[in-house]
Amino acid sequence: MLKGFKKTAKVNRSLRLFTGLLLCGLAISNTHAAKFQLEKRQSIGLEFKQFAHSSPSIDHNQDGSLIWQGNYRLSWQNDRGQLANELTIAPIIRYNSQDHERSKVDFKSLSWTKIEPNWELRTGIRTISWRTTEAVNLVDIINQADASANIDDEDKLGQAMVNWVWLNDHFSFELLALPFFRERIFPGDDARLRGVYSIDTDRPEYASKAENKRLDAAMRFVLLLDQWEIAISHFSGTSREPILFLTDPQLAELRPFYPVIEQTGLQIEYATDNWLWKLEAITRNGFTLPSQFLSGLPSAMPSRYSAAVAGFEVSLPPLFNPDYDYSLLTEYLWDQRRGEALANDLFIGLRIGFNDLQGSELLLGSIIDLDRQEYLTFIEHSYRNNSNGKIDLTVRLFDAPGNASSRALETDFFELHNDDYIALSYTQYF
Amino acid sequence: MTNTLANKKIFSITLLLIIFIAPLSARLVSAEQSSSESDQAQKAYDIMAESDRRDIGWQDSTANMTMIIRRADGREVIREVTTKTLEGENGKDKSLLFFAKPLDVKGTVFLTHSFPLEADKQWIYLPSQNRVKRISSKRKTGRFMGSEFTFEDMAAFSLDKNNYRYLGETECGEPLQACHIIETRSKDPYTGYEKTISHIDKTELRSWEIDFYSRRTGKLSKQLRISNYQLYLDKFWRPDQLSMLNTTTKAETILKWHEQQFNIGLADSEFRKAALERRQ
Repeated sequence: MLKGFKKTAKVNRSLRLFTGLLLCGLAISNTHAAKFQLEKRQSIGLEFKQFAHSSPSIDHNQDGSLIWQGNYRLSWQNDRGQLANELTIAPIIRYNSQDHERSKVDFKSLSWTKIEPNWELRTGIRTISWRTTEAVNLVDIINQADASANIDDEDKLGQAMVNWVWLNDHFSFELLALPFFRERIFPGDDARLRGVYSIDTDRPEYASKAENKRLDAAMRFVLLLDQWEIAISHFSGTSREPILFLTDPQLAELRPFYPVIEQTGLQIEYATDNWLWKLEAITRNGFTLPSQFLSGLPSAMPSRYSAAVAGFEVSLPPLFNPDYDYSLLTEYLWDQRRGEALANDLFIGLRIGFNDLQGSELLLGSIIDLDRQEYLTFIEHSYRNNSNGKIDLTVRLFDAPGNASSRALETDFFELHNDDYIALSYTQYF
Repeated sequence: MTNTLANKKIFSITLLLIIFIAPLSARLVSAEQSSSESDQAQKAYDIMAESDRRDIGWQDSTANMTMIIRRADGREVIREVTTKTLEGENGKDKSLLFFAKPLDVKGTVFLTHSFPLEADKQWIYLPSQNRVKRISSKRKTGRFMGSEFTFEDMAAFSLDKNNYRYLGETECGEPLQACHIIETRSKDPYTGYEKTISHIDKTELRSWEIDFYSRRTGKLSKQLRISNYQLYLDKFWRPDQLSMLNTTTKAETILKWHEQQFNIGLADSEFRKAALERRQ
């Protein structure tokens, strides 16, 4: 628990600063404003995970979490009766029965936005996503991932920022200044889904002399052209993704190293009839480990590499029931570093919307490593059990042939091959 | 038994008449009919065009909508949505739907840019995924929010997307008054309907009843009853209630409008994709 609290205290310091900034912002914004509007959303959820197999190193096969989330948005208008300011506070509290790394108190959002017809200034802690594709999101880099919450990195940590956007109906151009880097959260030593090696998150290494205090920056240009949407972005700063290096082969322990990178991203989306075509591509420079952490091993990491994911989502005609909506998802994942996870993989998924009173949805999918014949298969089913409660059922199966000694570090899912699980959650909204 | 047989005989004779005689007579009257056909089409088109013209100039609107989706066995779900709409030139309207109930979808925002002839552009902001997602032009026949209304029923009216025919006169509305009967056939190849038949009052050109005929079966599939018309800005008639009955399953969706406001001065910038992204 202590470790968790230490981190919370660190976050608190930056929170205080931003609260100060926010209050200043509010003071200088339009004070004789009219018509306030408050939108709120709150939920409390209980999640239970059951692992199918026991793990050689961890003694539990179950895991429970309690999650409370709130989202409060206060907006008010200017003299012309137009939306001019928004204040958003979105806290999240999570308690996990087995892993203190998964327990946290955090803010997804604590921000103030000044809105003008052709520009916006968004200041504070925010969670923004630059996502086009479904299987992986390569371009999305602003927020740190909470890898302890979910293996798909879709859970993000709030990031402090000053975000200025210039926009009209056809394009938007934004600049982001990103202070206060946040480390990635990994599953703790005694948690399932953590892999073979434990990760020492107390001793991170940074490429920047300023360590986690480096001011990062990003920009993004989005063009909306009929059925096309094209986005070009650039990020310059501390990589959100660390390189995990082995401190001592005897210890089976990894430490995170956060290099400073330059990453340029491209996103394209094209809509036609029932088809959505999607592409995400990046080229990244500087994602390498310095020689002092190599333990004498030769570095296999290129200074620059590219990766891409491309595919489509198509609405299918009704197959069995005219009321159901069916969508087929297909994406190909490519990485120039062929040895990496998800370097030559195929994702196939089927989404079914049942259009019933419970709003039931089913997503079936599989990521297939074409080099090594490994699979990650998942089933996600959700439905409403009454007007305020929702049930989510998730199954994840990791299928990787081979044995631990030879393959652990060179396969996509082998480290998790004992961690097939089924998760059931109930969320009450109020 | 004999009765049934006799009926069969009569039936087959009628069928013979229809198959062999009808085309002959049709050919005889075709010249005269085609001119009256086009007259009827023109008359119906003029009525619809006038009705469309009278609905120009409301600028923008906001309203709260309650949707009661009820199955034949009595189970129901209530949806609450706030809408904002911006009137555009030539049917290029923009609309926002803010979901309030059920609570698990609260915070979801649906943005539509309508176009008179090409496909609409749609985006959805999903708070659970904290993501703005483009939606490919959905199957028109897909259910809107799980209701008896389809996406086609909810789409903005566009005069030139349809062909019309004048079928005659009747009485309809509250209070009962003289009405036109107009048949509408969509030109859209993806339409779910063979035709719809509307009862429109003669004085204010408001629709009170619409019967929907399925394209698959050719039969009556749904009936829409529109009621509680109110006059806004001394010019625009809008109903407070619409109820759609599925005549096959007997399921019903009742759509109620509250606090309809017009000409408020909504900004175009609220209807951009970026306005959804700001919610992240």
